[in-house]
Amino acid sequence: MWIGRDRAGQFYNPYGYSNNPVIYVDEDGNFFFIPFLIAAAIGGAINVGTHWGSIHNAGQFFGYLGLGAVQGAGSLLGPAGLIAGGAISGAGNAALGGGSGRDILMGGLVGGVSSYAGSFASSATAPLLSKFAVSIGGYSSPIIEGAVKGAIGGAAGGFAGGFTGGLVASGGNFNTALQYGISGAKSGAAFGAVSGGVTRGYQAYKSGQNPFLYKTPTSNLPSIYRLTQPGEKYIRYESGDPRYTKITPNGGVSPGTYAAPEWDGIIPELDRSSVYNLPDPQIPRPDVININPRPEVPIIGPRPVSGGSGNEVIFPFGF
Amino acid sequence: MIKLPEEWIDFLISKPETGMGYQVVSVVLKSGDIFKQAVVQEGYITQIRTYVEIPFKTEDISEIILTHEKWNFNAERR
Repeated sequence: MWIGRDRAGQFYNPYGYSNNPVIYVDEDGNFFFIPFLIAAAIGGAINVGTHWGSIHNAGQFFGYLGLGAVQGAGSLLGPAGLIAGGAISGAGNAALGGGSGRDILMGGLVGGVSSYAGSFASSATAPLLSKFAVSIGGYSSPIIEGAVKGAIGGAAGGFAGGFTGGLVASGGNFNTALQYGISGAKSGAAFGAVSGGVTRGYQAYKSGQNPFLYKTPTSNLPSIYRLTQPGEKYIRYESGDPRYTKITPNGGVSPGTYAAPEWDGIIPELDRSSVYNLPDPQIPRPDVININPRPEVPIIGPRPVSGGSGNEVIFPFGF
Repeated sequence: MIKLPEEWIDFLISKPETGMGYQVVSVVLKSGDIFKQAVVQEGYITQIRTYVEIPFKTEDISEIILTHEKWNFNAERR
């Protein structure tokens, strides 16, 4: 999902890309077919994996593969694609499994509803997940971060979608809905982990990062622009001398201003230099200034501070 | 730390930061000496990489070039 509108108008939903507004980025909008291929491949692999016990011949294998690919690719086409892809996949899976006409109908219904509801829930969790760094045993990489966050978001989305679809299909039976929800959470976690890892890894590769290992940035060269979302807040520490403040009279900031994301919290004054790798504090900065940009202000970050434990964001053009 | 001439202060205020509240510049002296990594905060040169004291005076400065070539202050903090 792009933060801003896709200027190329490639999809039904101008913001639709990967269902995650924070983790995934299409820097130039010029490789729209690659996400389709990735989504189709992942969708096919996941569908084959989740039905592995039901596959007894090549026809079933390629059937599940194709249905998963349709659902995966459809997920990039906005609400209509999500619902249609989920419905086709759900109905087809039921048919391949030897289900009755009613099973096929229910499979299509559950598939369509759960696909859309799952996507909605996954998108809703993304801003929360973006606030947390991910590491395993002290090791962190774009792929790991994408996989873990994708699995969490996918599980939440899968449960919400499965539960909702099950509730609709069963006419309000809670136990049936719960079974569908748990099943959806499992497949959602698997799908989310793979797609999150692949997508975040590919995005890292495109931006010149090492997909397998986070490397501390060593320069201030602009990396990836994004647009602020409603409610994003930042903190800046200043000396209180109005001549040198970067805060404009209307509460904005001047071009090229640095700040810290609100989720870093207010760092004690004595620790600010070490957390944000600032020069020796010969000029104290006791003032804590809250920055509340309006939505869709271009920024870089938040990203880890080179040489510090905090995070930083840059307002390249002010606001 | 040494205070910069007003014209340099006005110039740097209008330019982007290198990090929160500071800029990294190169300082060229009238003698031709160049200090490639100097920190400017609120109109003062507060530190120069590898130097304990600022090894020149305000009137020695010929040019200041904004480079943004920061370094790991934590690793080299004295």
